[in-house]
Amino acid sequence: MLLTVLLTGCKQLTTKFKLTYQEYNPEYFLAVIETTEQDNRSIIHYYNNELILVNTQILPYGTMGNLYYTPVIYNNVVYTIPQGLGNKKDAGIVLGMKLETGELEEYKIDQLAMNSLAVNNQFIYTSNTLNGISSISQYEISNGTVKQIDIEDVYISKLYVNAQILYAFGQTKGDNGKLITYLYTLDQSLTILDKKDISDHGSGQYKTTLIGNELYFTSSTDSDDNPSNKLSCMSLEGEITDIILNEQGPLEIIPYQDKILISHCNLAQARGNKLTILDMKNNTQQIIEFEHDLLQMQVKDNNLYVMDQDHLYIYIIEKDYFTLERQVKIKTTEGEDEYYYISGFFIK
Amino acid sequence: MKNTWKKRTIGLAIVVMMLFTNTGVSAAPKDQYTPASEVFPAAEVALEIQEAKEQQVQPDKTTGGISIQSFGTYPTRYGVILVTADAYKGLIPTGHAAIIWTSTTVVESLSGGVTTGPNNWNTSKSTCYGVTTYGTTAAQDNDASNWCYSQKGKPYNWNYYDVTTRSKFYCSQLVYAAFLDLYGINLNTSDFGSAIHPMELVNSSNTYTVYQK
Repeated sequence: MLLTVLLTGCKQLTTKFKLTYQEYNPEYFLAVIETTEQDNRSIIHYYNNELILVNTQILPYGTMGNLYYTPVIYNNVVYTIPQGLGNKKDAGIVLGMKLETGELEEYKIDQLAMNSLAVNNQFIYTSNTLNGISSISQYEISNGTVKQIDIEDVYISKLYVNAQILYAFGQTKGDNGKLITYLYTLDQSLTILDKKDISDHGSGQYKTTLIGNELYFTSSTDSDDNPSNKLSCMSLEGEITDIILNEQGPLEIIPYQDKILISHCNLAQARGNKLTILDMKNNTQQIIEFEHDLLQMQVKDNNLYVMDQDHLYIYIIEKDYFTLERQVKIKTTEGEDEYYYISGFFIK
Repeated sequence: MKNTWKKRTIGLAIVVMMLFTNTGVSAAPKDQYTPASEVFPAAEVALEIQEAKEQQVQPDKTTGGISIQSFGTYPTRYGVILVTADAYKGLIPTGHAAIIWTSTTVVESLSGGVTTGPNNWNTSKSTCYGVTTYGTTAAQDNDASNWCYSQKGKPYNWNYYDVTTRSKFYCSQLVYAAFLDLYGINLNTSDFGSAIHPMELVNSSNTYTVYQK
């Protein structure tokens, strides 16, 4: 069933501000990163829970993330990969910012054009693909030691780590033109424990979520590069099952009460405005159509936070629909010499 | 005494030269070649950019009679060439080029080597052109993207005039080399001599534009 979103009593806020550097202030609810590939400069906009702008910071880092790789929060630190100038991507660091103090720390990994990022108590993991070889780096937080493993002939699109195990999704192209996708399982010494061919489940994995003991993931396409319509679930034992969705292009997976919210969005084209409410108990799916794209979303308490390329939206989550409460324009740099884009947001 | 001083000075100079030679001190690779600002003068690059803007957007190739994607939408087809005219602060020349490897990834030559990353040029860049070559099929374009992806261990080519080398690449040269070596299609124009600027990939008579931002 396709439902449209109700727009009742929404408040549209516009903000104007001066692009001046301000000190970090931990009194905020949510932050948006606006960044550019053309200069080593990014702007962090901080909002309260009513989406009122409360602070702005300018940081000397370029290409600070993108829609495929949004900020990662772990242990009250938000992590991003600022790659530097877009035609060099040689900054070679992961940037961590403590949410309570704003203190910044650069973790030097010295890997060109790093993409995915995963963090646990001990390590920061990153991946890149250089000359057809993917490298997974492990940075030990306590002493700065970096280890690396190379995996040939695959592109590592996504890393996920729990306390002990690192999962890496990698794709390559077969001789017949089909996409071949592997799920690697590695231990803390970066030894590959398992390499599973998951081509039948899809290719191009960029989002994962742990629900209970099961790792859920979505795929951009199937092995023929057609849009995927599967939500996949891997058990602790490594068994993978698929839930066939009624809508293509699943992206983010968010558990909410006894349901799973799944956005549908094509990251390459930055288009997609549908959300599936998946009821696992009753095995039903409801599709909600929004009036804007769902490039990134998060749930906090009873609210859904959604971003498109220009705005951030807050929706109240009702039983089987969403009510827009307010929205704010987050793209602020029109008229600047350099082109800025919104790379993601995070909730403190 | 004068002759002795002269001999000592010459001798000292020779020793200094030998020291530098023996310790391998030399100019960085990029310093040995004509700088990009001279290879690609700003005024001529501006003309290339203007010419690219005037290219008409045409429908992309089909495969098996089925249209791969809608007219004028951001490309995700394997082997479509991506070009941007965006300038990077402090760096010349302006512009950059890549090739789509899978629908969500691109291959590009950076100063550290040939990398693969997300296909997000329509959101991360101010200008973006998707172009494709006349005379190749979608399958052949795919093979060209694979050729670029597999250039293992190849460093950056700072000698912009040397587009014949295959041991190192700059961004537009990588794409140019793929189509030349595989299909004999020359994407270069004569605008910058033998060097190939990213915008020439858009303006080449052997390509046409399927997307423009």
